Amino acid sequence: MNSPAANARLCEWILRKLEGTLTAEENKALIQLLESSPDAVHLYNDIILLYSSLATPGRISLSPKTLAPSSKQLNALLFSMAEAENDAPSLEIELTPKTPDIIPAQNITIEKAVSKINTTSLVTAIVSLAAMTLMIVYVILNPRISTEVATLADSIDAQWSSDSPVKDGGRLVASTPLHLLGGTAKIITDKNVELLLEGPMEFSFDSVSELRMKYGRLTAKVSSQGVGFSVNTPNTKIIDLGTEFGVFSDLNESTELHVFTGRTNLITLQNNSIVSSQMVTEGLARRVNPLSEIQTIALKTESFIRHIDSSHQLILRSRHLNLADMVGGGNGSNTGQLNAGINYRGDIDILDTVSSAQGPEHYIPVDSSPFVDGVFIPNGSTQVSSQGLQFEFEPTNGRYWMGILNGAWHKVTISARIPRHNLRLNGTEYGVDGRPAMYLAANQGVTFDLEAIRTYYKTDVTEFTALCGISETYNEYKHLMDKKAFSDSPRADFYVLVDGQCYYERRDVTPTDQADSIRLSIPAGARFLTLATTQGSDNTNNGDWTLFAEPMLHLK
Amino acid sequence: MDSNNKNRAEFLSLFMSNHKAIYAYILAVVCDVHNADDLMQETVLFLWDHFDQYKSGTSFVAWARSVSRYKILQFFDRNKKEPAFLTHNLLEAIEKDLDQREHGLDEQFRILQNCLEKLPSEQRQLLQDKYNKGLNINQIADILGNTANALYKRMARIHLALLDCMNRSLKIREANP
Repeated sequence: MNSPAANARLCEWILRKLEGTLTAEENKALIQLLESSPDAVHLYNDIILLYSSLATPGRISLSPKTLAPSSKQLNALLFSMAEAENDAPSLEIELTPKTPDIIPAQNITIEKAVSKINTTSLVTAIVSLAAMTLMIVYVILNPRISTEVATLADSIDAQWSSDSPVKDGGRLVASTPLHLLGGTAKIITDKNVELLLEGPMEFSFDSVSELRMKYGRLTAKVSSQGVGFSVNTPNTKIIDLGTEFGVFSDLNESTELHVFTGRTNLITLQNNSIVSSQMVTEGLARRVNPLSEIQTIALKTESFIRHIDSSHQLILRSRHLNLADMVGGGNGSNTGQLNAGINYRGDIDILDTVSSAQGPEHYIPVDSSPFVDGVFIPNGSTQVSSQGLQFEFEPTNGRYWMGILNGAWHKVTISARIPRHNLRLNGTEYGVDGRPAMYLAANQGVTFDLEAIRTYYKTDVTEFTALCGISETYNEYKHLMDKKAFSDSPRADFYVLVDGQCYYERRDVTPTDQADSIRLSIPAGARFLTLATTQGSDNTNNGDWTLFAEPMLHLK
Repeated sequence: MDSNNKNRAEFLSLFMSNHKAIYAYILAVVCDVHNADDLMQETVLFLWDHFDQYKSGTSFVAWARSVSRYKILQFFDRNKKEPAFLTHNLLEAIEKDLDQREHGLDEQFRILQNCLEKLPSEQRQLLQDKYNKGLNINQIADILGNTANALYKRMARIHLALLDCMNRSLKIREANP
């Protein structure tokens, strides 16, 4: 067992075992080797001792697995963490170069005498001890680097106070007060936790896993590596258990927690004592008032920034993009123009005329939006992308109404007197603030370039969701329509295609039918998403007030 | 100093002197970093809660080890899907081997410091990524664009080089007390 190759293999197995990546076969071989060779046992212990010396010995972690066994232990630990900043011994480490065989100098000063013994003060001390040991190892490994914990990855119009200037790409150091006067900033911690901040905000990092905010608004997106990350406000401690959440804290010691995905542990504090602790899971929100009482409030997903990108001056308050907005010339985050849309010259313009026209027989590329590939009139075998993808629709009369609209309204002025009104599905009016829709009156189709969207947003798209149907307002006005041209019950078909393949199809929908909810997964690497409507089995597009309400593309 | 503070001071003193040995023991038995961290935490809380049962002057490490062994048994009992790593005979062999060196851990730690400083900066950076930044080897491999397999082999060589350096230093010290 003394050959270098055998030792290297044993060491590799042990490292894999320690990190949980050893295969079952290797595990069996490792045990056999240890059982048969005292030398292997000796080397095993050598490596374990080395590993434990280099790692943080006895790190007190707040992983969910740890919290499960005992609420008493949990509370003791959480409490100790909460008051650590007050009771923990302060630590100074001499960073000057060391002479061989001399351990780095440490001066430990107990600032406050602890007058009463309890479990929490002990655990606080242990936490400090673990931190101290970590610091020693840190200094050994790299004497010159201070306790940097995160990087300012991006910002838009960020103004920092003169005593805490930070530049994009700059490193942030623990225990340094930071004051974001205005604008937005994205910070990524060294444990891959993404924080999106909105000024005004005063905060500091206690460590790579802990942010303390005096007031402000932030969104935290925590990777698996960063689970356990916590945000402290004056009266709460919010511990992430694998999630994305928003925190708003004001100067009156009122804190709001909004959990977008996953779950968190919300601990309320008063004079550094735990008042209560509860899990807050996906889709829920809580407010902690200045008396540390927890109140249930509505989730406000749009109140928190979910994505920023200074290269496009882009601030997103959701993780989904509004495709109707793109049709209106926007980037999906409501920057487009309501009631603008795409005509069959491929331009984006205000669409204010409702009339029927014969559509082009070929695919029309749209150059005025980077996100819209093109538009077309579905009619039998039809080109549905600039790359020549074809789809076999039912034959149609090749006519369309209006164009493809970022909005949802209709009016009739010639054959009947029907006032301009917003279209409605399942009792809800669309095409108004907060309820976007794409009016895609049959027969029309639009194709979005998913690759351009991925490139712009620097992330993948995962799902398409929408509600589709014929506006129920048709039923209210049908008695006014010209009976020769408009039926009492018009019919239309809806399609959603991905790369020319049909992912959703609903045939012969009428204004009386309930609108249908669509939710489709977008395969990784898919290039084109197409929405289309056709005239249905009544063989006319008259009365086909067909719309996709809240057509959303979800970002990863 | 009242009796409570004396109690606390004594516990902290014993714990600070011996925590490396306690953690190493737990790690050796479970051979899994995450489980070892959790078990260390459970052990320390138990030790404090029952510190009145500890007899001054006896081996704190032996007491802590018996507590951690109990906690480890409880752990594997709770987690049926996670079979115990070591057999009884192997556990005894590992304990016996550890017994012969536990008292020199602080000395080894000082030697380790010297050996770390002798490592090429690139290797020290890898250790820093792993142990200071808390990244696992797969994550470091992703960042560096290496395969995890290659990085495990490289990490194994670095750890063995450190051990070799430490063993040579210990021998020199033994020869020149």
